[in-house]
Amino acid sequence: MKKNFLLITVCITACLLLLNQGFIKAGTTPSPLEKTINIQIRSGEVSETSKVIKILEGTDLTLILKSDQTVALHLHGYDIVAKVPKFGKALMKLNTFATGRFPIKIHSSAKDHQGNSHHERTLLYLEVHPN
Amino acid sequence: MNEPSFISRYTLTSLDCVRNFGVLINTGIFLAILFASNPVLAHGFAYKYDLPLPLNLYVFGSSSIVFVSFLMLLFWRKGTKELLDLKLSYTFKNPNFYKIQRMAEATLGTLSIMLSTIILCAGFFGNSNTLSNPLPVTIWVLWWVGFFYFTALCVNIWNSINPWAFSFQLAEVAIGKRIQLTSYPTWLGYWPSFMFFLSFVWIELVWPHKEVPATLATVITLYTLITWTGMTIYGKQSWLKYGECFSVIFTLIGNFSPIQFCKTKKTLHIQPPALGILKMQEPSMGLVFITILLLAGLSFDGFMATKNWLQLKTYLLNINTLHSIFRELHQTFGSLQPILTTLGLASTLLLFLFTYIFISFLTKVLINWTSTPPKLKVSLPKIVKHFVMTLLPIAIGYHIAHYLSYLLLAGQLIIPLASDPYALGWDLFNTNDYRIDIGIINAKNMWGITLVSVIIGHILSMFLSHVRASQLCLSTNRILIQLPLVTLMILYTGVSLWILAQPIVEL
Repeated sequence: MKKNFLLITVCITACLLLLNQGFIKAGTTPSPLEKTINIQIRSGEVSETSKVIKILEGTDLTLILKSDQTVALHLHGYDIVAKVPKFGKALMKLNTFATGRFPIKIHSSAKDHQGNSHHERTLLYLEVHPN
Repeated sequence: MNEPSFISRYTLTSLDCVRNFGVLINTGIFLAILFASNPVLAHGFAYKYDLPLPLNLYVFGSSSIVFVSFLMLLFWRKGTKELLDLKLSYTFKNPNFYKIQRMAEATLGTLSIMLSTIILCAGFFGNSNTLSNPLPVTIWVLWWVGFFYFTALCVNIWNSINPWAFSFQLAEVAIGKRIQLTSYPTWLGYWPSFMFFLSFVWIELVWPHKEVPATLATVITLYTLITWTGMTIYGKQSWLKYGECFSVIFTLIGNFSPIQFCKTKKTLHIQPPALGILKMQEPSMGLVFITILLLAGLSFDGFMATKNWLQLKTYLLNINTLHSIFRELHQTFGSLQPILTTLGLASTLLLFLFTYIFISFLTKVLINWTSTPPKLKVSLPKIVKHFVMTLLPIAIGYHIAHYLSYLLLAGQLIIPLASDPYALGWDLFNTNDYRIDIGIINAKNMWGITLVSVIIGHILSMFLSHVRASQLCLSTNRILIQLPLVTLMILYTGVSLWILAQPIVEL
């Protein structure tokens, strides 16, 4: 019985060590350390293909934001705000030092049906994957 | 039909919404209003930026739990007496230990009352912004997640720091006698705790105002009054054992912890995690329901952040026969979000209960089929009570996997708030300018912790169920009667991993 117990312990430990020794991979393709991405916002929306931006940790990222309306965008986590004028553009620059899935929210100051005057809604996600 | 712009969606009045309900549903605008009505996350501090578990790790984790399960079943052919006889725990016995414990309890109790009062007052009189008030972060992050971890992984000190219990004890000391009007009715069992815990889970997962400091403080004050009343009527010990839901929950979770105090024997035990669960007495049915609610609540909280929950809600709202009901509910409550989430929570609880009872039924059939002589036959309630605690390690493993990053990120909010709890411009600890470090834990490490905690939770649950099974039947039948429960455990762990592999979406 003790042998069996020992064997199970060894197997489990081996599994956990395997896990710890670099088995984990992010599953993303390598990217350069600098990257520029254009985001076109039309009527407060982006196309389905740009809903998730995948990037590697440690990248100097520049988001070029263009919109047909005046909007304010807020990258949560990194806490960066960019105001895009109507038919204009704005830049959001950052170094992706922290991994995670961060929402970029669009802010609106219009009143809703409940009378609340401040709103934000997720426009797209920035996924920063580990190297 | 072109969908109106985002701005125009929000400028619709409630009356417009109701009047144009049918059209709204057809155009999808209603969904926008519904989801925008209460833009809160399961944990609305929104400091949860987990990357979904990559596919390769999800597959590795899922296959590991199946592999480990069968490995354990294959090798555990003999009795488990050897496992129980292994001297795995160490006991400290010191004549001064009891005195030290009493002093520690008095100190912790006093500190707990002071801190609770400070934070509760901050809830009432401090900044009304959730992120600028210490009450929501203390309750939802530091206490419910952080203290939960501490209790499960270190030691249960809730009985010492419970502010309601300690304040009541002080009152008893002041008047010089024990306060108790009548004895606790045995038929009531753990059901008051279950009801309070159900309300707590509903507040945590459904109630849109749970993070508004003043309303949260009001709810806490209400619960304080209920607890004091309960202790006055039934006595402190009885109410804490059966009626005060957090004492019940932390006692339950504390059985998992490696450090255990034994007040009657005045000793301290250090033992492997989860071993304490085996020493528990067979729980009553109320405690079974509390355990299942704990599991269901955790899973539903995770599920609520997935795209599938969003799709399920959309599907429900698009069922034509339900339109009139939704219209009525929308008119009455102003938003369908809490209604649908309540339905989701109730359905998850019922699903978990029925699944567990069905699995227990299968186990009972197998035991009664294989038992010789027939006198060994067992009833369904006996099986239901006998195995329920073996699911706790999986729940704790999933809890760690799901909330650790949230605790590490949102928990940092307390650093600046501790310096100025009442928003009066103080800087008591010189931490007012502290900014949250979002890089505190890397996704790679988080995935590692996720997988390890889920797999270890599964292994411990398997171990416990095996030992529990050995108490019910002969060794030759043990593997067979475990099959339904092992299947359930694989399923539950698999679902937990699946949730962790889903990208977080906002409601």
